[in-house]
Amino acid sequence: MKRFILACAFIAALSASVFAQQSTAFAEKPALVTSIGQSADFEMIKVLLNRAKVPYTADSLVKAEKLDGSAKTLILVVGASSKGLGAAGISAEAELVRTHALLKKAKELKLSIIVMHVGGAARRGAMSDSFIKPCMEVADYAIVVASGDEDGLFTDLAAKAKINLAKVDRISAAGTPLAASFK
Amino acid sequence: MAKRTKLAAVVVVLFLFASLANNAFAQAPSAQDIQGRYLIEHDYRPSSGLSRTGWLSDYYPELLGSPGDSKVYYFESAKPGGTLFVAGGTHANEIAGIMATAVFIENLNVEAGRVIVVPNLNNSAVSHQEKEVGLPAYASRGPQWISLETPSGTRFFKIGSRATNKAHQQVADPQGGYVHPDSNEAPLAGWEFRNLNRAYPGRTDSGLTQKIAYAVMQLLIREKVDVAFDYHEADAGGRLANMMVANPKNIETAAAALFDLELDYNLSLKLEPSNMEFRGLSHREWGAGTDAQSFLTETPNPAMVADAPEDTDVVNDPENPLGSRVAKHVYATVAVVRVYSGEHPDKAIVFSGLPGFEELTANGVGPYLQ
Ligand SMILES: [Zn+2]
Repeated sequence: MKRFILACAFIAALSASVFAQQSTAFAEKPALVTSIGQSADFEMIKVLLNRAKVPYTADSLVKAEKLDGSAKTLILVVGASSKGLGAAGISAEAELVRTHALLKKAKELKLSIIVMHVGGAARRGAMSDSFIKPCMEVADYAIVVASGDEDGLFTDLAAKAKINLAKVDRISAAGTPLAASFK
Repeated sequence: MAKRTKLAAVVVVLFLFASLANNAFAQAPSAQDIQGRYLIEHDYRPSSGLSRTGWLSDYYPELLGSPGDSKVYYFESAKPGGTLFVAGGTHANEIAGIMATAVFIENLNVEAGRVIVVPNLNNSAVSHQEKEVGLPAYASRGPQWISLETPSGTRFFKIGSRATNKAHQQVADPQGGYVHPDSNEAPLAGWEFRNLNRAYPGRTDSGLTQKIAYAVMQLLIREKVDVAFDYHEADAGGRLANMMVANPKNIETAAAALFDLELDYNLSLKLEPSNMEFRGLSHREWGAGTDAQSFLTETPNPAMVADAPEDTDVVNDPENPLGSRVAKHVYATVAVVRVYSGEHPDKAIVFSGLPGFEELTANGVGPYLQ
């Protein structure tokens, strides 16, 4: 039984890495990174981008009007934090309105869109999921920490959107697929 | 007079217990120094890297002779650099924070800059474990002392309460609840008036807790602290456990350090910024009121789970043993200091002598004390 579980884990890990490698570089620099849900995961992704030497600007509350085409790729760090929303002085409803407008404008400008969900199970639940779904519908690529996809939500949404999904076991491992997605 | 009698009784009870628990206490110096500064003779045995000791009352003399005074350990290098401040015992029931500072005190060798350590930031809270009405049960749960096997034999460390001893506070808990003077939030429970981590930046015209908070702020300012850590614990499995909270002004330092912790030690901690609306917390007020980058770490304490039994073993918990929790505090600090020093080479803080992350996690704290 143990051996079977091990084998399954191995195959799962293999398929995850194959998935990750499948995505050829498609995104153009520079990037604009924003938070969808105001969690501190946004700060972690900034560190990833710094270390991967991807040029970017960061604005956790960027509005659609601010998108002018100077950034070619939009990185959405998705996951709700009620504390973060409170600290930013924005309601979950207002955050969702901002998100929809932002996604619409990004599509008009033909930006590449990368969804990053790196908070695991703690960044799931009704509020987080309400942010995840619209983002995944328009994304070109998604990178998620596997513990956030235990129920297969991201797997399903990626299949529906016909996009590649890279699953990594921890945030620090998200840098490789992220860096690899940039031309 | 009544207050004085009560205080004396607390002291007597503590020492009776101490001498029963450990006859090493019998050989310890007398209960109070000439200024009456100790209530508890804490058993920390500094490394040879210690430069000097001082007191919180050096920063606010009104604390002198009060049960809120607490010992400060200074480790100073001849080579200039930045200053790190680490504190345990804000909440005296959160023993991993206290023992993490003990690991610093007993092993530290500073090669550049300075490290200032206060193991029992609220030294009144460690004097009691009163089951108060309104105080959540977890806030004073656990053994009165923990014992650890160390190279020099069995040693004992005191556990206390989340709150300042009522007998020491001097001002009654506010009826109708506690509201921080600068807060717009709804009142907290009345006992929160005695929660050091709701009291910053403190004040001199209020209770003992507020005076301790004031003294800590003065220390951070006068010592020009660059990086400050406040060690806490939270209910194992809860939202806060395994988290680093960072003042927004230094959240990027925290994020970079958390990456390194994953890469170097397989340790994943969550990250949250201080809520600037929620007043009185160390990471919020230290960061806003001083130049220090301020951080708070939370480790999973089995005794703080809501319905944990009163006799929960806080040392040898199978899931979260003390050594693993202490390693998280110590190495979260090491990681932040490395990032900070990399970004501020003129204010680098360099130290050695600490046990490794894996060793602490695997072997526990005892082998790495004197
Ligand atoms: Zn605490």
